[in-house]
Amino acid sequence: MKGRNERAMGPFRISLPRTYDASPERVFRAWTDPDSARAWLAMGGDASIDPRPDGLFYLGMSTKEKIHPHYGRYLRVEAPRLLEFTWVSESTYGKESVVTIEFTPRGDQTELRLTHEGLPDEKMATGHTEGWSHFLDTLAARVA
Amino acid sequence: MATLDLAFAALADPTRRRIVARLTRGHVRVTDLAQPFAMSLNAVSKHVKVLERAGLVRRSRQGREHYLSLRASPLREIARWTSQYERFWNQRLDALGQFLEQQKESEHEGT
Repeated sequence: MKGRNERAMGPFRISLPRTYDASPERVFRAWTDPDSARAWLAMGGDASIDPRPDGLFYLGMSTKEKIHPHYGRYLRVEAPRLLEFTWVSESTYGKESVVTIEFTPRGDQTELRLTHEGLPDEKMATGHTEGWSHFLDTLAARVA
Repeated sequence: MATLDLAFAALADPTRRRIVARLTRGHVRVTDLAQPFAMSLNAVSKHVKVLERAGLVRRSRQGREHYLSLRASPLREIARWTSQYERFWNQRLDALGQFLEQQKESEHEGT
């Protein structure tokens, strides 16, 4: 079952840029090495990851109150430039959102761009997704 | 229905999204709004009513003309809703930065 499932995705998308003082190889490895991912991504909770296309991951993110389980499936694993996986959790209401991370070298640094798309809203049914995310990005920028 | 639900429902329609997009450029007469949509004034008015009910659009009268303008607050609420995910990833990406720093420090200590 390769690729994303547009029918199972919500309409929203966010995109965040970051710059890190490390090589793309190193930043990429922080996402795909189980011990590293456990430390920072799973907040010290369980992390079971199989970073290859169609490989699965489980992150049991631990906060003070409880464990927040996150599941997903790797779609694209192209070290050290691109990583893409599905992302399913309580807060996606079972929707299969997709996280894409691009790693671009900038001198000694790495520019990372994380895009999380297919995010659902609480009540909206599927089928109204055409043009949504770009539209909302534009509007949010205008009304900010 | 909550503000957010009404706004989502109203914006689920592509014509209404185009109307809202048009209004981000400034207020407009109802009659002028109908033109680019190749629709009857009546059909456009129905869409406008849905947007008004959702609190996205405000109507004002100047003489015989009805002007429409955008109300930003429901849009802000939508933006705030998606910001929950932004907050989550901002925290995780901060943690990644700290992790990379620590890794670098412990390597320097090792050499």
